[in-house]
Amino acid sequence: MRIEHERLPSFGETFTAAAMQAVRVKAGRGASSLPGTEARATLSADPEKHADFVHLVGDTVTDHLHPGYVHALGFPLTMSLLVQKDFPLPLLGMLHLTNRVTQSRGIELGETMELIASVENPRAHYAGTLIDSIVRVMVDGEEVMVDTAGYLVRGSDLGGPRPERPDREEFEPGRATAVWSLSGDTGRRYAKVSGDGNPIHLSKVTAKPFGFDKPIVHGMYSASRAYSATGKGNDGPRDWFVEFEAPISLPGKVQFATTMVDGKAEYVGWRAARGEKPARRHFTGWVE
Amino acid sequence: MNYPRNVAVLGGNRIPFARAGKAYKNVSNQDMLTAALDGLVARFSLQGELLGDVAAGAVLKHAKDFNLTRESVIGSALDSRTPAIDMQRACATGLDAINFVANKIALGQIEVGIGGGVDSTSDAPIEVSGALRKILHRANAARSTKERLQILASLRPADLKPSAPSAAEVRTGLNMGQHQALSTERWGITREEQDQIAFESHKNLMAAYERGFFDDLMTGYQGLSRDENLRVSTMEKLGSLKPVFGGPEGTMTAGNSTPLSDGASTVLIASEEWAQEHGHQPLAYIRDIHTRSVDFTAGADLLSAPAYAAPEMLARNGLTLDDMDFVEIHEAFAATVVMILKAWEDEEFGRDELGLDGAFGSVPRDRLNVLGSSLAAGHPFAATGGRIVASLAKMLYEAGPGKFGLISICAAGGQGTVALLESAR
Repeated sequence: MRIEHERLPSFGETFTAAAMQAVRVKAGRGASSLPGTEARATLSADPEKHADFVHLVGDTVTDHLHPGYVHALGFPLTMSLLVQKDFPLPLLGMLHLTNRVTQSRGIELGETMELIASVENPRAHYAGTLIDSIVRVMVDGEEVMVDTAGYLVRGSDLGGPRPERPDREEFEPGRATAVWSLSGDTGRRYAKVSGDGNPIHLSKVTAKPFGFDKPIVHGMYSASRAYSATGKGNDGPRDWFVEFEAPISLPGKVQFATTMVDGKAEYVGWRAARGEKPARRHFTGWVE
Repeated sequence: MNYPRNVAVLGGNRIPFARAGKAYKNVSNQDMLTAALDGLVARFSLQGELLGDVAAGAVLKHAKDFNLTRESVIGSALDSRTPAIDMQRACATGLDAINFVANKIALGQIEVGIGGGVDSTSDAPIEVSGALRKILHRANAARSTKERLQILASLRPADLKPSAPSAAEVRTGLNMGQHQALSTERWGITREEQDQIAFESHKNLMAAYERGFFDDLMTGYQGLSRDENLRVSTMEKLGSLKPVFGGPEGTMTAGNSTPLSDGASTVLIASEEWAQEHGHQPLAYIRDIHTRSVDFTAGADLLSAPAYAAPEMLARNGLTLDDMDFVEIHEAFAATVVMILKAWEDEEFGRDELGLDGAFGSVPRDRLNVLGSSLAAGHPFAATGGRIVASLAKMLYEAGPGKFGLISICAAGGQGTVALLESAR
């Protein structure tokens, strides 16, 4: 099946549908496969919105799109698939665990892109089922970018029997190259430039019903800011990965370090140890 | 001047200039300067190169941009260890930044560097009022919440009014256009003389684009591939515009005054040794750069400083106006150009102001701004110097050996910076 979107659905539309779905779907009990639906939309980036995004995540506005912004453009398509009636897993409570963007070339501002979203590859995780939300970006029929977001659906057995939980490796923080001081409104500011208005990111009051005492920052804010900090730029073939661990509460301070290893920029973000509390890793990743 | 060693202009790169609030309304000074730098880096294969210094500046700058040039260098493809300095001398910023780098090369302190500038009137800094600042400082120092609230309660709506930068001279309260209008009247400059300058500027710049002159001096940005202000104009059209300065009888219009603009420019400058090692042909040598000011608070024409600076500079190089093959007079207003030309042709000005036996000289019109200037291209304040130096260097190279070019740029505060370039082949 294929869903053609005339315009990108707004976050509000899909989020309302997700709330309705939460009543209906209980962690994919009984389902054994994904429906294999695709959602498509054709669009070009709005220069003003793109510039606002780039400035918020600490990068320079060039004539090429920030890959984090392309991810944000594709996100509503993914949402529209996850809230379909025949989609067997509940959107609310899904955890964004990993994200990988591979680009064969830079995408120029103003280029018309066809975004094709799909949800694929269910597999077992010790806490439930992992799925890949994939957005392929086509320009003139050529695939120029693939954005793969790995989500965890806790409690679901759709991916098969769950393995044992592996031992958590010890995290020894190195020396920070930067400190991010994130104000309480970081989630609201990122929501504005990305269109992702998930309540867990916005305020204490809206985050509370979802089990968070404080709002947490969008994973793709951290990832996009880390990407910018590597200085790799948006103009060429690129491979970018991030894995999310402990969420970042707002307001908050993130210790950040990036190191260049053979042309590959590796990065890590963490919360510094405080008294008895050990350091916690927020995310790791690389750009090359 | 006899520099200890030759300073070569190897080339330049700028982004097309945009009209205020148009093509570059979403981008910052840092974005534009980085774009101009990266275009230069690509053209001269400077990726990962450690340069001696990069000097640039912006006239209108946010407080957070105190290290604007260094930040742009870090964001560019240059080696991130390349140092950078922010400079500012109003509209002469770009030319003075180039002078800074040129002098370092001449003295052997560095081998290669970049000079340039950027300005955005779309992203101009807005300041809070002095009253609000004082109240906030006091509230910050308050010992209790009650005390803090009492202090904050003293805020008045007027204190919240933001203040935008203005082009007004602090000491006279008159803006650039109003000052020039006084000079325009004093020098008896006609509407037609001004419109003719504006007409030629657009015509010449258009012709330069058409013959591909800017192909290796410019990289497109944000969808713009040529200066946004450039248009096909006619004397009739220019003649139909209403005056904007000098009252209802004024002669200065939006057509013969430069528009507020956004843009950035960069120029690559090196020693001859560096140029040779890296396989680049110098376009021109920087022979001299000179700045002086006039006391406009005592009534001198605000934008007339170059009329003094150029004769002084040429004299110390043993040259006259007749030796100049190209004369680039920045078109702040068409009337500024006419005023400077008239001053140079004026016997009395030559004797009383310049201490010469008579008039300094005249500029044949076919040597003046031959590829257009700021009226057509636009004038992002600090970016104008780099635009003119790169263009003139290429013009001199095309013209062949032994050619000289003069640059004149007027600036706020009654200042003027002038430069002498000689072809490098």
